[in-house]
Amino acid sequence: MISIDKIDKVNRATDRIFKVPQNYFENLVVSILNKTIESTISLHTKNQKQFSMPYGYFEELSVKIMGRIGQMEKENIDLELLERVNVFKVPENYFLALELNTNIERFEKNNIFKVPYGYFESLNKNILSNITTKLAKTIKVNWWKTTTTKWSAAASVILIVGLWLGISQFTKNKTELALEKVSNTEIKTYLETQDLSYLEYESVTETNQNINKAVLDGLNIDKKDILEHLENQDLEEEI
Amino acid sequence: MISDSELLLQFQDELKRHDAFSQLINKYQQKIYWHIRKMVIDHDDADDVVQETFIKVWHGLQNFRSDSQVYTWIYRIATNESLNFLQKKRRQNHVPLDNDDSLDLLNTLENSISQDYISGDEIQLKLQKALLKLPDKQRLVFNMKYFDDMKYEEISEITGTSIGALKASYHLAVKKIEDSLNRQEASF
Repeated sequence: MISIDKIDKVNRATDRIFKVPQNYFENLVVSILNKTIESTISLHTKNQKQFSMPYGYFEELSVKIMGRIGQMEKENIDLELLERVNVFKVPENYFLALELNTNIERFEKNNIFKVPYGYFESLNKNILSNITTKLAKTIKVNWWKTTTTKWSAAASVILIVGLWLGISQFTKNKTELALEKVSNTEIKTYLETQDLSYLEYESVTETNQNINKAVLDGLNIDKKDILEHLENQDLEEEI
Repeated sequence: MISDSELLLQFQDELKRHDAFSQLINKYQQKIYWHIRKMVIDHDDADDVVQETFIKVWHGLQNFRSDSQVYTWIYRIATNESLNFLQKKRRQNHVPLDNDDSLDLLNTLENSISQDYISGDEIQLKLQKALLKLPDKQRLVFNMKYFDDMKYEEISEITGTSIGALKASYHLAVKKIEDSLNRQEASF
């Protein structure tokens, strides 16, 4: 019976049953290295064939890139150079309607007041009848009939003339004198109590030129005239 | 139509006086009435002031010297009567000086609307209400310039105010009214 234990373990180079060509192992390393180099060269050649580029591509590439950079710089937003465009919209005729509602020069100057029917037809008659009634009520007295009355009247006339002459001396140029002495604070207080608006006060004190300029621009109005306008807001008119 | 100077001549003649005055009333009653009505707002008040005005004209016409035009002179009387009337009315109604004077006239305007003595669209009424907020004399100047298209020279003669002062008054009035109307628009 054959037992494997009894078989010779043939491992020695001289006794082995498989053989290799002579110098096989000596040439193996060289053969592998050669194959590796070949493989690398083959891969490189293959890649070169798959990706190709137009002729002179790399020569033009830098020009192209610089061109793009230049374009991008141009496209950078400079607010100062940007055209001012209003992108918002309003309903059609909005401003026209607004102006019509607030610009009084565009209003129709209608007379909105009414009078009772036939009023003007009877007005004349009413006025004349009023005058007639008042005249009828006037009692005429001849004051010059009595001497006492004559003297009293003469004395009164002298007194009135004297007073008038005296007062007129004191009131001469009163407006000019008064305005010279009055301070801005006093003018302000006066105006505030006379139902005058801020605008009118401003036109006197000239502390805010802008507001007045907008309103009174181009009118060539003297300060004197504005003062007169203010005086007319309250002073008694001698009509 | 007969001229004012002719009417004046006739008025000096006692026999023709009534007739001449009647013609004078006919000639100017409408202009004077509307001038007063725009100031006092209420018709009955306007009627009183118109009558008082012409009665003063009657008394003054005998001594009238034609250094100014008759109609300018009548306007001056009407203007004065209107302003005096408004002052008296405020005193009678005890409107305090520091109170808003316009309230009184705004109430008068509202009453006139309710009595159908006022016609006009919404914007016209707004304009009137804005106008009533002006001081009386500024409103007077505005009415004469804006509604009556009077020249500053004419207004100057009537009110005894310089043209420059009138221009200032008118333009400030326009500014105030437009501001008032704009505020009303903005509040909607």
